Formats: sequence, C-alpha cells, structure tokens
Amino acid sequence: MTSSTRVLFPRMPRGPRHDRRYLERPRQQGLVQRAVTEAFRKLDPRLAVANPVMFVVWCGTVLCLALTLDPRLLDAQAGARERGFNALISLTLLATLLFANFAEALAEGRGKAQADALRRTQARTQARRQMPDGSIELVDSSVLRKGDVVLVQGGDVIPADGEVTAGVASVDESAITGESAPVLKEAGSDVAGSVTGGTRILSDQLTLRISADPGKGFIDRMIALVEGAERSKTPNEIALTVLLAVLTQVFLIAVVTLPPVADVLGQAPSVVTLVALLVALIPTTIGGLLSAIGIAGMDRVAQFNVIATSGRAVEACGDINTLVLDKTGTITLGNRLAEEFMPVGGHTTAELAEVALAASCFDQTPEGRSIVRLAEKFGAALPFTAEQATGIEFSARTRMSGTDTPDGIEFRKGAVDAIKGFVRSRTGTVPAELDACFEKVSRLGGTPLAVCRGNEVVGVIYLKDIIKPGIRERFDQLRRMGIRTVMLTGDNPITAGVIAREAGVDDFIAEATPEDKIAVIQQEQKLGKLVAMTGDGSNDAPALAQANVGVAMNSGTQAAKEAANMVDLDSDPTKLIDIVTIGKQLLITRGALTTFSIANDIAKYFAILPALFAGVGLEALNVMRLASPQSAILSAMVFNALIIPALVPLALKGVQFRPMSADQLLRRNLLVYGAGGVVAPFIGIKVIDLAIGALRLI
Amino acid sequence: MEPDGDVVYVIWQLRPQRQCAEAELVGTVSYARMLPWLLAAVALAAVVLMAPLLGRHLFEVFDGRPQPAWDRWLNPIEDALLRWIGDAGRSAESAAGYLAPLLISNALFALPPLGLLLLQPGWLNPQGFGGLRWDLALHTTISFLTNADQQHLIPEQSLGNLAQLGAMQFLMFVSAGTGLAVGFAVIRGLSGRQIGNFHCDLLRSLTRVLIPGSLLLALFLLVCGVPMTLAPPLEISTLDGGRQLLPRGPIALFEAIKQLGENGGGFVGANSAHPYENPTLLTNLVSTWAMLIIPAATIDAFGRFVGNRRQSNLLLALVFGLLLIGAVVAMAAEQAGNPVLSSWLSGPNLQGKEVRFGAPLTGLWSVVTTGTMTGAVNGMIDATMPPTILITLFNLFLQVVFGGQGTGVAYLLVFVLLAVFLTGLMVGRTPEFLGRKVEKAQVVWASLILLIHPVFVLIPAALTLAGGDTLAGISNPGPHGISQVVYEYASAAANNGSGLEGLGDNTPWWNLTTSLSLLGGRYLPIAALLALADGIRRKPALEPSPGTLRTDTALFTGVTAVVLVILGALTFFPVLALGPIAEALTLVA
Amino acid sequence: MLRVLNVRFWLPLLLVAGTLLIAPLFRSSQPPLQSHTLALLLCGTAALSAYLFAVIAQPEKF
Repeated sequence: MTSSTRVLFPRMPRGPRHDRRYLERPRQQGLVQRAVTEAFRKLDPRLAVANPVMFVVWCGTVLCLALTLDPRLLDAQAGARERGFNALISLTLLATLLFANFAEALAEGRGKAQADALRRTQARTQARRQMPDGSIELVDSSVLRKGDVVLVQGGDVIPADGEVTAGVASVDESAITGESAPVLKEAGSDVAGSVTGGTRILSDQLTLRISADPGKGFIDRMIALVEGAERSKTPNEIALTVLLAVLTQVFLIAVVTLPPVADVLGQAPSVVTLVALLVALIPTTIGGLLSAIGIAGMDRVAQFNVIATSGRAVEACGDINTLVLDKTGTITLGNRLAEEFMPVGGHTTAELAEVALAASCFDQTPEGRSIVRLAEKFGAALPFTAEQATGIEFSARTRMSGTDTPDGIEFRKGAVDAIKGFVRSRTGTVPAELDACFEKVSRLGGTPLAVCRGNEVVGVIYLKDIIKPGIRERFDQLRRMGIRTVMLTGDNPITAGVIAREAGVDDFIAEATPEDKIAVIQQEQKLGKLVAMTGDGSNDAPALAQANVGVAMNSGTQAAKEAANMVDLDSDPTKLIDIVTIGKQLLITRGALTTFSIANDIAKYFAILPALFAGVGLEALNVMRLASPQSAILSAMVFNALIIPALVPLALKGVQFRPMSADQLLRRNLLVYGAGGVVAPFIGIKVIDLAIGALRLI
Repeated sequence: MEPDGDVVYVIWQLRPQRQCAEAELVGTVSYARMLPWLLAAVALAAVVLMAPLLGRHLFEVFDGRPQPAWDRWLNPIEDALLRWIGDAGRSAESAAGYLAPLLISNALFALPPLGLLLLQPGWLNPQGFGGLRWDLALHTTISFLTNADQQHLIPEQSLGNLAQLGAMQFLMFVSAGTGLAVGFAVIRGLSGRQIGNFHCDLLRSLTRVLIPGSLLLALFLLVCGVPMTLAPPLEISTLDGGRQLLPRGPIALFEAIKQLGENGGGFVGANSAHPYENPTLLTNLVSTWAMLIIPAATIDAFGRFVGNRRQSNLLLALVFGLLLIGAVVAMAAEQAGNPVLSSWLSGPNLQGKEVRFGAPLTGLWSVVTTGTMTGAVNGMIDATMPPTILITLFNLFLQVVFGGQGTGVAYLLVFVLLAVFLTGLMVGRTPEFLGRKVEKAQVVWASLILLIHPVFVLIPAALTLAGGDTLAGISNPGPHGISQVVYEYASAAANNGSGLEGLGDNTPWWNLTTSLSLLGGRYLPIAALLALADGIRRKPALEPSPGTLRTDTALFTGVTAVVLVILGALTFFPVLALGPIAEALTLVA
Repeated sequence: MLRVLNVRFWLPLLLVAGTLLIAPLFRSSQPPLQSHTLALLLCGTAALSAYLFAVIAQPEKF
C-alpha cells in the first residue's frame, strides 16, 4: 500500500467529535416550534396509519371524543355525568398521540434543518460547458448531464460532481467537510482527481468531466439522507414493527373479549375504560418513539461527518465482527521517520549518514526528508553538487530510489532485498551483518532501508513507524465489543507483527497486495462473519463492495465512494469505531424502550383491572391503593402519555453505549430498563393519582 | 377426559380389593403429610435422571445416526414401508414440502376413525353401542387426531372395543408420532440441518419410540393390575343389591400410549381416577413420570442436535423450574384445602380428589397433565382449589412447561427466539440464536404463534359467554363459570384435552367450536413452526464473538423465563383475574 | 377498475354492511341508535384487527 496522499488531513482519533459538525447546530427554538405544528399535522389519519401502535391509539381517541360529545352513544343507560371523565381520558389520549408525533417531528426537524443548509450550497450556478467542437457555452448547472465537459475557474462554484481531466487547482470543500483548508485537485491522481458539486474552486482552472446527472450528485444524496426523504425502515426496525403489531393485536383481542366475560359477573365496563385499558397495554412508548429513534440515529451519523447510503448500513455496523484496516494512515501516522543509522561492513555512522543524505537528496517524500534531517543532525554534507546529479525515482518494480552523481557513483536506498540484488548485480558482496540489522529493525517494528554506494552496502536506516496515539485504546474497545481487527500492510512479516502487537490489533496480513484485501474479506465472510473495511483507492472499490460495510474516505476516488455504503467526509478511518457505536446504540435504544414499554404493562394491569371490575372482589389487586377507580384509570393514562416526552431525549440521543461484553451489557440494560420498567410506573401512577386527588380532578 | 356427570363418584364405591396405597400410610400425621411430597420428588427425579438416556436415543433415531443392534432390524421394514407409499425418503426442500404430507396423512388418518365412530358396527362391540351423533363424532375424531383427546362423551358408555382400538388408540399413536416428527423437524431446522422427511419421521417415531415404549409401559401396567382383555363388561351385584356393569377392555396398552404420547384420552370417562386405568400408587407415579419423560428427553435431544448440552440443560432447568413452582403451589393448595371448609374438616376437602393417593397428588398430576398437554386426570380439576386452577390455566396458556409431544419443545424454542429478539437488541447487535440471525421472517412466524392462542381461546370464549347460559352450559355461576368456559377452549387450543367439567359440553355448539380451536391450535402453529425452522436453516451460521449474546447462560435463561411468564400473563391476565383470581380472592375474603 | 380494488372503496361498504348485519343482535338490550353504533364499533374493531394483520404480513409497506 502506498502512503502517498492518502490522508489529506490526518486527524488524531479523539473522543466525541462535537467540534466537528459541519453545519451550524440548528436553532433549538425554531425546531421545537416546527415540531409542534408538525405534531398536529401528523394527526391526519393518512399519516397516522403508518404507525400501527399509534394508529390504534388514534382510533381510540376518536371513539372517546365521540363518547365525550354523547356519552349515551353506545349505551342508553350511561349517565351524562360520565362526560367529564370521558373528556379527561380523550385529552390524555390526544396528548399521547401529540407527544409521539412531536418526537418524530423533532427528529425529522433536525435533519430537515441540515438539508436546508446543504440545499443553500446548491444554488443554481452557470457553468461553462465545452462543446465537442471545442467552443464554450454558458449553461445553467441544472442542464449538465453525465459525460459533459465543463471548465471552472478560480472563484466558481463547481456545478456538479466530476472527474478532473486537466489542470491543477485548490478547492475549498468546507461546504461538505467543514474543513477550511483548501484541497489540491489535479488530473490523473487517484485520490485528488474528483470534485464535488457545490464546492468552490479558489484559484487556477480545472477541466471536469461531469460524473453525475442532476439530482443524483453527492450533495443531493446527502440531502435526501439527512432529510429522511428516502428513509426506508431498517431490517431490525421492520422486525420490531411486526412484534409491536402482534402485541397490539393480542391486547386488542384480550380487551375486546372482556365485556362478555365480565358480563357473567354482572360487570359492564364502559367502552371508554376499555379503550383506556387497551391503550395502556399496547406498547405506545416504543411505538411512539420507534421512528424518532431511527431518524435520530441517522442524524447522529451525519453529525460525525459521515454520509451513510442507508439506515441499513448504519445498523449493519453494529453487527460487524471483523474490521479490516490499512496500517498506514489508520493505525500508524502516514509518515515514517528516520530514527537511527546502523552502519554495516566496517563503515562508520558518519559515513552512513553521508551516503544516506546523498541517496535521499532528491527524495521529497516525508520519509526522504526525515532522512535528510537525521543525516544533517550527524553533520553530514553532500559529497557532490546537487545540480549536477540526477535523482532516481522510486518505482514499485525496483523498490528503491537514489541519486546518480556526475562521476558515475550510484547512491541507492531501498528495501533490503532490492539493495541486495542491486549490489550483487554490481558484483559487490553483501555483508553478513545486513541481515542481522534487518531483523533488529524489524523487531523494533520499524522499516529497514538498506543504503549502498555503488556495489558496497554501507548500512541500514531505521525508519520508525509511529503508531497513532490512542489507537490501542480504540482497538481495546473494539475487542470488548467483540470486533476483531485485521491489519493489512505491505511491510515484512516481522515489522508487521511488531506493529500489530504494539497497536493491539488481533491479526495482520503482511506484504499484502490489494488483491489480498478482497481475499481476506471473502475468507472472513465464509466463516460467517460480517466485515467492515475502509479504503480510498480505486483498487479498493471491489473490496469495499465485497465488505458488508465499506467506508470510503472523502479524499478517495469516485469509484471507491460509489462502491461504499458510507463516505467519511473527514477521511478519518478510525471513525468507523464511532459509527459502530452509533449502530449499536440504535439497536440498544430500540430494545431498551421495547423492554421498558412491555415491563410497564404489569403496573398498568394492577392499576386498571381492579378499577375496571370493582365489584368482583379484585380489591386486593389494587396494590398501589389508588384513590378511586376513575382516578386509577386516569392516572395510568396520564403516566402512559407523559412517559413519551420524558423519554424523547433518550430516544434522540440514544442509550449510552459502553464497550463491554454482551452479557454485561444485557445485565446492565435489563436492570435499568427491565427492572426500571417494572418499578417506575408503580411509583409514577401512584404519584399522579395523589396529584389528581389533590387537584380534585375527579 | 373428565367424566360428564357422576361417574367419578360411582367409581369410588368400586375400590378394588387390591391393597390400597392409603392403607400403608398409617403413621404419624406429619409423615402422611410429607409422603406425597416425597413421592412427587421421586417421580420428578426419575424424569431428570432418565431424560438424557432417552434424549440420546431420540437423537440417534432422528438424526439418522447408527442405531444400536437391538433395533437395527427395523431398518429394512421401514424402508419397505416407505417404498410402498412411494416416498424415496429424501428430506423436504421447504417447509411446505414437510407440511403437505403431514396434512394429507393426518386427513387420511382421520377418515376411518370418523367413519367408525359414525357407524360403530357390531363387531367387537359387546354392548352394541350405536353410532355417535355427527358433531360428537367429528369432535372426538378431531380431538384425538390433534393429540388433545378432549372427550365430550363417556367412552365406556358409548364406544365399543373396535372404536376404542381402531379409532381412538390408532389416532393416539399417529397424533403423538406427528407431534414428535414436527418437533424434530423444527429442531433440525434450528440446528441448521435439512428439515427432514415427514413420512420417515412419523414412521420412526412410531417404530423406535412410541410403539416399543408403549409396549414396555403396557407390560408394566399389566403386571400392576391394569386389564388387557377383549371380554365383555363384567356384570356384578353391588352390596346394596343393585346390578352393575363393570366395563373392561384392552386398557393397558391404551393407557400406556395415553400417558407416553401425551394424549390423555381415557378408556373410561373417569380417566386415571379409575382403578382400572391407574390401580396403585406405583402406577400413579409411573404415569406421572410417563407424561414428562418424552418431552424432557426431546429437550435433551435438542442439546445434542445443536451440540450444546449446556443450552438444553438450562432450558430443561427452566421448564422444570416452572413445573416445580406450579407443582408446589398446587400441592400446597390441595393439601390446605378450602379455607371456608377447613373449620369443619380435619383435612383437605376431598370432593373430586383422588382419595386413594391423597389430595396433593391430585394437585401434582393436574399440574403435570396440563403442563405436558396430556390432559389425563386422576381427579376433577374442576374440584381443585383456585390456585391449582390458576396454575393449570397458566400451563395451558404457556404451552411450554414441557408442552405437547414434540411441539412443546418447539414452542419453547419460539419463546427463546422471542426472548432473544427482545433482549438481544439490548446488546447492540442484530439478535442471533444458535449462530443464526433472528430477522423479520422469524419474528413474523413466532408472533403468529403468539397470536393463535388469543384468537382460538378468547374469541370463542367471549362468544360463548355472550350467548348466555344455554350456549355455555356452565354449571357454576360467577368466576368459576368463566374459568370453565375459558379452560375448555384453552384446553382445546393447546391440544391438552382436560376440562373443568360440569360444563354441559356435548352440544353442537361446543363440539364444533372446540373442534375449530383444536384444529387451529394444532395445524396453524405447526405450519408456522416449520416455516420458522426452515427460514432459520437457510441462514448462514455466524461465529460467536464476545459481542454475541450467549443464550446458554443462567442470565439468559432467567430472562427467557421472565419473557415467557410476562408474555403469557399479559395476554391472559384479564380473564385470569375474572376467573380463578377473583374466585381465590373471594374465598379468602 | 383500480378504485374497486382499493381498500378505501371497500372499507366504508364493509363497515356499513357489517353494521346492518350485526345490529339486530343488540336490539334486545339497546334502543336502535345504540344497537347500530355498537355494531359499528364491533365492525370497526374487526377492521382495525384486519389492519394489524396487514401490518404483520407486510411491515415494509407501513
């Protein structure tokens, strides 16, 4: 793997990236206002029907409202004084509906605000389109089609996504990445060759071939995603919807069949109390918050500056078993630095420093420059004038670079094997200590570079790989979540092993080729594992497509971005860990609220049933000692309504996720949401009952 | 299975000369009080000890493992039979491929018995009973076909030996075999194997499990004094000079498959309260054991199929725990007796109890028989205390406290699946069970199974009660009447067959509606179970990681128990509250 | 033609038909208005139940 311009803005892995929001945080007040109006608009039955649990509440509300208007609608014997009670129940039901709508609207509102901000960058622009005959015409950006060629100059907004075909320019991508430093774009480069519509070119001129039709560009996709326009339910959400619908159905049957059974005992519960019982039993808490949880989850992903193609991909992140990572730029800093000179064959360190300097004076890579710096520290000076020498560029075939002086001396540095071959081809001998040095450096986790002057090996440069600070902790977290990390590196096995151990990855593939990447993924998948990987180069595209979750760096090529499920705008490969956390949070939040919702039913039964059938000797079941049957039912309903807004912050932020084993997580969440769900309503309903008594509502 | 009318009380007058267990219980009062508990412990311990042995045998039979020498000789016979019906013995490709032969064969099994009951020829019919009314014949056939054996008739007063053997006993064997086949098809699916071949499974469950097991048990019962004869009823003079017909027949084998196959339909109306079906304390205990052993062994075999005995042992512990709780509550309630009467009586109220063995053992039997979906009784469940009725109803609602033959373990696994789904989300992964993901399709099928009970119990019960006394035929007004009606449908839908008798249930309304509940409670879950298992089988197996929720831990087993009880309780709490709970509270008050 | 297949076309029809069909059952205990509203309530509940079954069968569509 090359280490060239992989990471344009290397970032240290940090904790929460609150400081990374690329858009200003939408103003809270406007959001709430909009959500309130939306909450009322969502009472429309055509919208309400989308949520089975809340639609049942909706039907119950309509029924109760009708019975408030005329309490004798269903039972001629009913007294008119029941109207007050019916009205109170109707109000709590309406509040339940509005609270649930509000939660959803609030979650959607955040996304909509972000989408609006993005849309502003999409203002129509004029583009200079190059016709096949070479002439230029000014057209509106909306008419550009895939394959068109346009010219852009300093100050222009780039009209659409495209590939650079000619020119070099710096581009301000802050509109999508929030990163103010300009990015260099040039033709023919793997990673810097694509531009995104809506970004601004700062200087110079580029020729672009448009790669996306209008409405299908990167920003359009982003808008659709954060807005939730294309939000389709994720697999787990669908499965949960089924379960909630079944529970609702079960309780519907249980409640509807109750009147004839109670009639045997001479009890006739009123329809309003039966509706109250039904609504109390069906899982309204999770039903009301389910879609808000999903939308908020996508929103959180967006706040991490990651664009996911679907909620499905985010959810899949929570299921990942194996994470395949490149070493360079992910685990180690992109740049290796020269750390030490190790002379061999009787040469001195000073001599080695001079030869190393000579071999590196044309090398502009960070490694090369660090060698020069180290050599200068040893007081080395060039033994020739640089102007007269010629630099030999690194190539993947020779695996070395160097300098030829005018008097015919060849200075070379490169992989130890390559230098050995070079020296032998010049009839030189390889000193025995070279292998020892090679091994010594490798064991230190560094990369050994052999240096030679003509046919004479002078020594080895120890290039030190710097492991990103904090990466080990992140891998520890992953391990606790049950995720195995596999490192891919072009290094020799010894170096790779040392780095792997230091960084704390579970496995590594040394001397890896791009083909190895896809092989590793396939192999893991064959074992029934879900694999995530990060990548950016064109040759990563097949592997990104093969992986269950592929995260492309925004600095990567268009091909990579298309093949991936997610695009990281910050080009920070370790961010996958954050997305995994969000995916898990999503599932945990849903599970926790479902458990909470079902556990609540126990208390509600104890509140409502004795109240419903006061005359059959069920008084002993009134363990909460609620004041009166009517107050008991009303308290349960009020609790049922109030618990939704009380849990909205949890639904939007997600249940806190701590990396620990599944058993520990289960134990903890069961205690909080299971046991809590059993106990909380007992307390809540009792308190509300006392309050109702104090207010003399009934 | 419980008698209509007063048969039970008649039978008390007929205590056999054989030494009565009670006669040996002369001792201190505390010893007499302790004895039923001790005997219960012995019977349950025998289940625990022998489940792994039979479990291994079941595993070998249904996983196509090499058989031990003693039943290898069956292979050519089975192969010939399969060839004869034109089945190549290949595994079904899909759930439908397994379900279709099941439905067809069950329909074919039902036709001859139905004809036999409608017509009742004179052959082997010493008392010359005529054909049954069409609705009663239909209900009886369906209830035996569905392994429920709900009886709205008094067998010894309406069925000849030909009908008993050709219709009832035949259906007992094939219905138990069908249940076992389904159970193992589901287990195969969940363990990632091919779903299997129904004909092959049915045949093997008969030849390798039910027939040999029943023969052994029948031999034991025979030795203990259970009749096995085709002779006509014995005519005897009673002490007060009356004449009485004492029915007898080929009871030993009938009794064996009745208990072992979790059928529960008695040869006589009094069922195991009759000394011919259950003559001694020893047969009482062995019969209790026989109801439990195959379902317990099936759970054990499940562990062998998935290669995780720890998993199956924990599940076994789970259902065993639920059974124990139920048994303790019921036995204690029966031992204590009715609080209203206790000031007059120096012991538990005995009406409707199996007095030879003591009231607590009636409690134990009632819990076991409802838990295992056998439905045989050794006393009147109707006469037990409200806590016992609560436990028996709860057992019928849950259907997993060992549960039906084969289907019990399948239901249990469905609840585990639901527990995995509910709590699995809380560990932040798509829930997995045995390395396979639980997704929409699985939740849909599992949920349908959850729905079947409310649909086939609560709706007909509400309709019946709404129809008034003439429709319901309740003998006791108030909460107990509610219990009677709900119990009858719960027993039908759960394919149990017992009843809170006293209900005038031999009417077209009862016969037809319970038939519907019997069929709905049998074949719809079977279809859903097979679809569920087949869907899981097709999923790739995932390797467990530290992030995967392990299902073979004590924690998760506890979670499953809570999910089970809550899901079962939440659905039926209102009717339980209006039925047994209201009754119990009224008694205490 | 499509209109005929649409649930919005069938639902009111079924509700009315069901109401008229079931209403006589309540005639004994309630005056006409109440017996019809009770019947409507029952039919509406059945429709709600059918809707829930539809959700269970095809949750993606909701």
